[in-house]
Amino acid sequence: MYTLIQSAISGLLMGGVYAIIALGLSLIFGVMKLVNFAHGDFLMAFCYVAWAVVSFWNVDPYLSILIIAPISFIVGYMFQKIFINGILRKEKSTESPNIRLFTVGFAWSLGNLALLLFGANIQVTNTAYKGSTFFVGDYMISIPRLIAFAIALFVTAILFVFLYKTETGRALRAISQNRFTARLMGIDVERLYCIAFGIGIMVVGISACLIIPFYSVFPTMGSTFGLRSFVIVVLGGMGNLPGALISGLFIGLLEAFVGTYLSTTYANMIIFIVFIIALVVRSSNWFQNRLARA
Amino acid sequence: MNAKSSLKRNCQMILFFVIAAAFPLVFTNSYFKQLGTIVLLYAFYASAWNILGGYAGQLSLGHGAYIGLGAYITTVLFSEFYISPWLGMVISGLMVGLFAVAIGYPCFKLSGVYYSLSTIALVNVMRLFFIAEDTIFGFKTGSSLGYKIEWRGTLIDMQFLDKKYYFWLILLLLAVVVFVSHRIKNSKTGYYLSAISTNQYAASSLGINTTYYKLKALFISAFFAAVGGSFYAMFIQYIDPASVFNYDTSVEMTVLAMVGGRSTVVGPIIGSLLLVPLKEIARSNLGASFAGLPLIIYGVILMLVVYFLPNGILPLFKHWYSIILRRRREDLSV
Amino acid sequence: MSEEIMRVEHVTKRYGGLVAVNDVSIQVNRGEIIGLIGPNGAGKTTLFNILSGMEKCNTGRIYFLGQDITHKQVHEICELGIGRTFQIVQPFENLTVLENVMVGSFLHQKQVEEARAHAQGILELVGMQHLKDVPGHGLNLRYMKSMEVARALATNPSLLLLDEVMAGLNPTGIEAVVATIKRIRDSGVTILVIEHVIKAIMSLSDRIYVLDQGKLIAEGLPDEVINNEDVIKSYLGAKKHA
Repeated sequence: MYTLIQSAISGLLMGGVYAIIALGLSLIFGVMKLVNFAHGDFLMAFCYVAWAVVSFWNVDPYLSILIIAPISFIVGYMFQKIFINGILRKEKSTESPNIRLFTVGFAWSLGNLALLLFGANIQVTNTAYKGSTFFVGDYMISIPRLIAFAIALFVTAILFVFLYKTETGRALRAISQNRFTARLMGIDVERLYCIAFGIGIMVVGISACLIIPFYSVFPTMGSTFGLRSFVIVVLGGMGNLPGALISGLFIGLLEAFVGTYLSTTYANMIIFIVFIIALVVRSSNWFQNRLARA
Repeated sequence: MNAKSSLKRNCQMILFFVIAAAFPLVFTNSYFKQLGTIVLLYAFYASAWNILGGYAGQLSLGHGAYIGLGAYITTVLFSEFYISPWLGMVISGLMVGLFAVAIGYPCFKLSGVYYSLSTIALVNVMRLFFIAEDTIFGFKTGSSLGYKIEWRGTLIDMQFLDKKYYFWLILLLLAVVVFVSHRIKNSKTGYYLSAISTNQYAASSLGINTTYYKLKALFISAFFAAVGGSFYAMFIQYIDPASVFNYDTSVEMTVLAMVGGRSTVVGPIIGSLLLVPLKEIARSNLGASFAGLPLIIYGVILMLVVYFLPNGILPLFKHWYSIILRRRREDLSV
Repeated sequence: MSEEIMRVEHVTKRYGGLVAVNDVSIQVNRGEIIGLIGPNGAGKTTLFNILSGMEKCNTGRIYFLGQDITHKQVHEICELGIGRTFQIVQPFENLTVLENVMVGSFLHQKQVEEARAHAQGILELVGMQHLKDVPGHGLNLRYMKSMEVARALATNPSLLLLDEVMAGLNPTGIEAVVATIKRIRDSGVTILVIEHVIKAIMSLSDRIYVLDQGKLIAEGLPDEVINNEDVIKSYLGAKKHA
């Protein structure tokens, strides 16, 4: 029983972090129907940047958000503007395989660039938070994870407010529902794509600052987190932000339970199987009918 | 595409294979024979992938699942049942083809992106499963420690002391897959696949059972991928989940086919001839301190090709070639 | 000539709260040219989508050549003999005109050479044989629409659904299309035409159905329909909002 609750706690906390990492992906897909295969590698890159900022300038990791967030927004905005809009001009839709492949190429390059620069070594941030825990009864709660969880929820809430209460947010939602009509109503779709991508990557940048106090940074973490994010986004529904939050927590719990009772390898495997099942169920006629009726 | 130009094309192909066959006789260095074999193996993988990814337009990023499964099945048939790999690779090809169709049937209902994601999930599931379990269906597969293949050393066992036989074997297999690709392209199936990959909606309105044809392409593609995996097993004589159920290889196959020209027969070969030697030489010469550089180059090339030449290099060459021809004809007629 | 080839019974199609097709019943006899007219958004293309199997109706039945095709798949319906064109053209852009039509021919031809010969014949029928090697993306709208008709014809349908094939054409072009449609009918194909060019529909159709906001508001001979008060009101009403 103790093990159950302890793993549930760690699972939930990690789940919140997974959720915020996946949030950016979900937003980008919801607005643009674009799947960014380099999502995880963006995270990895910002983890290295955040680590550098924290280690060399002695900035508190959570304060570094103030530096990293605007940088990551600009990076995302420019990436969309320079690369993807260029391909979009030739292709008909954002669902074209070429954009997918482009992001795959980018992911490869980024991941291996990190490998080249940093080797396969693990970089660890030594901050005051690392390893600090407190106890609720018999249960151990890791402070950095708790802070990450709290900030993750906070950012999600802000994102929500942005999408529903601001002009830009409404425009983004309009585009996600019907690109053509939105354009007809005077919405500059291309520019808003850049904003959406910028926000998506900004959330990734923030997540990077949140996880470095308790998670080691290494070049291949990109694919690990990237794949997790895909699973979460598909489970929760592409573009469905609360869904991403709930599936993030679910995946965190699943990973914790299977990892504790079976093995990490099995945890990874089961998550992928859940992924395939979710993909198939989501696209099945039965599910589509239920969605239509709702 | 009249009879005269297809005859010329066939002659060019035969010439290529004859020249290629001479390669190990000229470059007798073991390193070159190994390199050549690997280049051809990737050309084989890319051609197998192209049947599904290029012709049918289904972007699979997890073909490693079929390579790995083919490798393991052939290995088990060889080690436990003493079945010659010549037969074993056909059996594993058929089994993997059926497996692919079984999984593919629900997955094809997924639109482009979701389909690609499901293939990535598949290759990872296979890899993790083979790492987690060391006994599958009652056979000891060694989990992450891998499976070392016993040396029996005869032709029937597809094991050769001189590496040049492996080279010729993969060349032969490549010829087979090229022949099959060629036959498909110029058949009803080829036209249908082309229609499906361009506009599935319109294709179905013309009476095309899109699911059937996609599954057909998948079966053939997975069959050959498994054959490639079988060859790999007998060539390296050691397999383990991480190297045969490999995501990077899966993406690499895609890159090679795309760079060369994905809707053509020889595109994958051209892509492989250009890129694989680059990567392998970089890898063996630069060593550990520059680990990852070849793949960075791959990634950059992929991005460049997708951005500027989505149809690959081959159509561009054909275009240049026809311009040169036309200009020569004009010069002659003056 | 009065053998029934298709019967549509009380078909309704809903999208959430919106009723796109409302209790529509239609009858088509062999050899007829049936016109389907109505203001924009009346549900005509949706009806075509339902008849060709691309969408499924919520209630109602569709019978073709005596068979119930209500729940059949798109490719099965084409095999049974229904072909269609699209309001927004859907060419196979990477294939040439000839290859586009060949894709249709392959439904009944087995070999590449047979399909090629068959497709050439169809192209001559619609007057496009001189464009056979042009890539699908290199055509203007008029030829793209003709190619789509040729492609659908290549599947040897008994019933052809034409969706606004005259849209965007000048009077000469329209005349040519009208002549082609008559030629197609004379070769034994029954035709159901959605069109906005009233004059053409009048001269082509044996009977006309009028759809407005998903409902059938009139049916009958062209002269009857054109003088029908409800029809005039629905078009004038539509003009007021336009």
